[in-house]
Amino acid sequence: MSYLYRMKYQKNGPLRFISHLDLNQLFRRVLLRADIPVELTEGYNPRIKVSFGPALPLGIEGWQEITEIVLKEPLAEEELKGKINKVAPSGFKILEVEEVSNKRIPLSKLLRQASYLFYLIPVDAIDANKMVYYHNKIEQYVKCLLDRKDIKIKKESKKGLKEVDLRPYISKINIFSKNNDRIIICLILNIEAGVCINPNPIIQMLADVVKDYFLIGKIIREKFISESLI
Amino acid sequence: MIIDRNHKNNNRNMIIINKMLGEVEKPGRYTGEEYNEIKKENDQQLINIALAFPDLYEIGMSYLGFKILYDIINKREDSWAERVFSPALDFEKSLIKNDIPLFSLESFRPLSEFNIIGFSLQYEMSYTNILNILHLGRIPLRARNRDKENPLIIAGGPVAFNPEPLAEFIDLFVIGDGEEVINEIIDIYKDWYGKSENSSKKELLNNLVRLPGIYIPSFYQVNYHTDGRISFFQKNEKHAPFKIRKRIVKNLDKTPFPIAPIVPNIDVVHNRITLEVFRGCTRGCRFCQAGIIYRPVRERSVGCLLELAENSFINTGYEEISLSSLSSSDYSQIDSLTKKLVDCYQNRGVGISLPSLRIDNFSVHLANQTQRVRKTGLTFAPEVGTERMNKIINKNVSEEDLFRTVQYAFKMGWRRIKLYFMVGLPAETQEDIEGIIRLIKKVEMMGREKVGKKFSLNISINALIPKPHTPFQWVAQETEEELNKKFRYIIQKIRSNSISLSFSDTKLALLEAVFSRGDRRLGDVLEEAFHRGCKFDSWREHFNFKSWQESFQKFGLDMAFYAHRERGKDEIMPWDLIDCGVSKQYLWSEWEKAIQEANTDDCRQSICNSCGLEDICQEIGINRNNS
Repeated sequence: MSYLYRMKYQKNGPLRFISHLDLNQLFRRVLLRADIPVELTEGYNPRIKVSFGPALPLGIEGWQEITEIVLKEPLAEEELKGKINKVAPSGFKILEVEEVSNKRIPLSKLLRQASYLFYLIPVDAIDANKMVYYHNKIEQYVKCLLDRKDIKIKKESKKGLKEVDLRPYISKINIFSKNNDRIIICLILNIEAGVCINPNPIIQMLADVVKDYFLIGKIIREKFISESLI
Repeated sequence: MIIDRNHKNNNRNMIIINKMLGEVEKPGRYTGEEYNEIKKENDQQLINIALAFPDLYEIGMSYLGFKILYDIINKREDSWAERVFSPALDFEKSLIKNDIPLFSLESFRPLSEFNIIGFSLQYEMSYTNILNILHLGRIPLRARNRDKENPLIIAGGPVAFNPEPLAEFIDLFVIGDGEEVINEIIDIYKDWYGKSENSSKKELLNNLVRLPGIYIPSFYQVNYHTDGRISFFQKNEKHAPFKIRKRIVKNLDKTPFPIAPIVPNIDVVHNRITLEVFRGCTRGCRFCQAGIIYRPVRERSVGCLLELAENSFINTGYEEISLSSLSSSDYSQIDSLTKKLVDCYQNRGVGISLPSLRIDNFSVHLANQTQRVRKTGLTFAPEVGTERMNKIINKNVSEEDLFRTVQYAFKMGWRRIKLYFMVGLPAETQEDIEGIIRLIKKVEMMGREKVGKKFSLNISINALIPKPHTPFQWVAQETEEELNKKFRYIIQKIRSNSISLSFSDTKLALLEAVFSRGDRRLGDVLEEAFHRGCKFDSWREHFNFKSWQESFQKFGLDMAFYAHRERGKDEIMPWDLIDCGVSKQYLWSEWEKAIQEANTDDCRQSICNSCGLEDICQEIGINRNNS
């Protein structure tokens, strides 16, 4: 018998600077340290049965990332969470554990959208009027952007430059600036056919609107949006 | 207290550092906060020690000695060991641009605010990186330009056995095993630091020089003949000894071992549990420095190793345990140890690896135990291709041994073989080169026959670099021209789809030979090369030979004097003050035997060879029959 657990976790602090591959390795070691009865794959090089949601680009914090593991023996949800968190490195924390039935939709089909937050921080202190001005400027830009039929960018891939259309991936862009010290932008991207695009090019476009006056602060992937997880 | 120690980089700098991390390659190298990292509350009482590795994080985090010292120092309540590595070029640029001094990973403290900085010396070609770390840490490079307000700069590791090229820059070298002496150094430092307001750096060094195994270069003056050879050493301080005997820990079972090493967040070169099964090797290969300077052989017991393995696994969750030593199949209990480890870990997702294997069926049998399912490559080092050369280097492995071993490996299911060879050996003839080619072709033939299309053979051919404290310390290194001619000849003769050949960079080998046997006059050259931008010299893409040539020219020194000159029997060597335990007289007799093509037996299987360590062997209870 095997038992499937879906977990929400945080990837922040120093770990926002490690790649998806390194995270995989790191999680495996955490599970071995925690003495979790993880199921191993068959074959030449036994691996633990674990799958991750879409990769988080380097430098972005993940507040509610998703992973699934398969265990050989059942374990109470709270116990599993406690055991892992006890031996997790700084920047990794399990938030929620849920045992799921084996007949289920794979993660790649389950997750529909990803929601990102990022800060634009003024280079010099500015007053409320100025803030409204910049806020509106970005808002206008977003309106134009969403009206466009396509938003094509060149992306470097293994086979040289590739053209990608970002437009179908953008679902919503909301702008907040209640305080005078930062603008917060919420960006909701669609996950199409399992592909969760890197938000950085879009974030850069928005930041460029107020280029010399604001710097990009923290970037966060806040959560995933799916039918059953909302 | 004289020195005002800020606790860490201030807030402004921390914001900048965070921004810098977002812009460089592999920022995980610089963040710290890995699992098992040690952080301490820094009240002013702690002795702050930075363990510095003059290469990238991925390299430094792979060395056992570094982990051992981190563990020992941090077990003390009065000290805190932190880590610092060479920043990659992009991060270095960013540090300079943002005016941030190089800092430690644990507390982000600027290097200049440490009490002691200890460099790990693993290979000569990291020397420029040492200067760069000091420079980026805003510490004066030359020892004489630093006083008690600067950190004490110490260094140790295998390359410290010829400390002279670094004599101008390092305050104090530790010779030999560091496990005990590091505590003695800290004790003396702490004592001095408590009353340092009324004391000088010289007083500190004078207290430290009384410890066995400590070499303080500024306490000696070196005099030269007009031709550049050394005429005599002179000491400037009463208590400085004329022989610095290396430190030896006597019982490895009772020597601290890091069972909770840091688990890096990013991938590093050796990302695994390193279990040191024994230290030292008595095979006596005449080119091998490690085989001399780590003597005598001291083993850990199987019981101790199993306990260390289990604790290390629980504390790290690593999926691989590597049995480390200079020649793992020489461990007296290797069969039972391997079997016990495999039985214990194979169902827990943990593999066992044996990185250094002798050439015999027994070793293949061991490898087969550890890699029952997945057979990655097997690596062997026949080094040479003729019986005669075998006798010269004293590697007692015959052609038949190699063929039989390889045959057995194919039978057990291996498809990939890697072989190491060496050229430029003393008294080498065309026949020896042909011998290497013949060996490679024979192994290839066997592979094609037994394995077929999936067979692959990796050949690595390196130039001999004559090392101090070896029987070859007197020999001339072959010139680049001769070496390249031999390399080209081998390439010409070996053309096959299943063989990949790699050769050492002959310019790099030349420079390594120069610094291996260099004297302290090279300090000027080193600093000049550093100012001309040399760093990461062992990385082919960074190595700039022209800058090195210009630096030698500037000080009128000749690379050939150091690399291509044969030394006389009685020549005073720059490292003669360092006593590695094996006598110079024994090394010379080994050199004579090499020329006579005579073997010397391993003293573990035969009688004592009287290499100079007899008293130590007796003291730690190694019994050898004296003839």
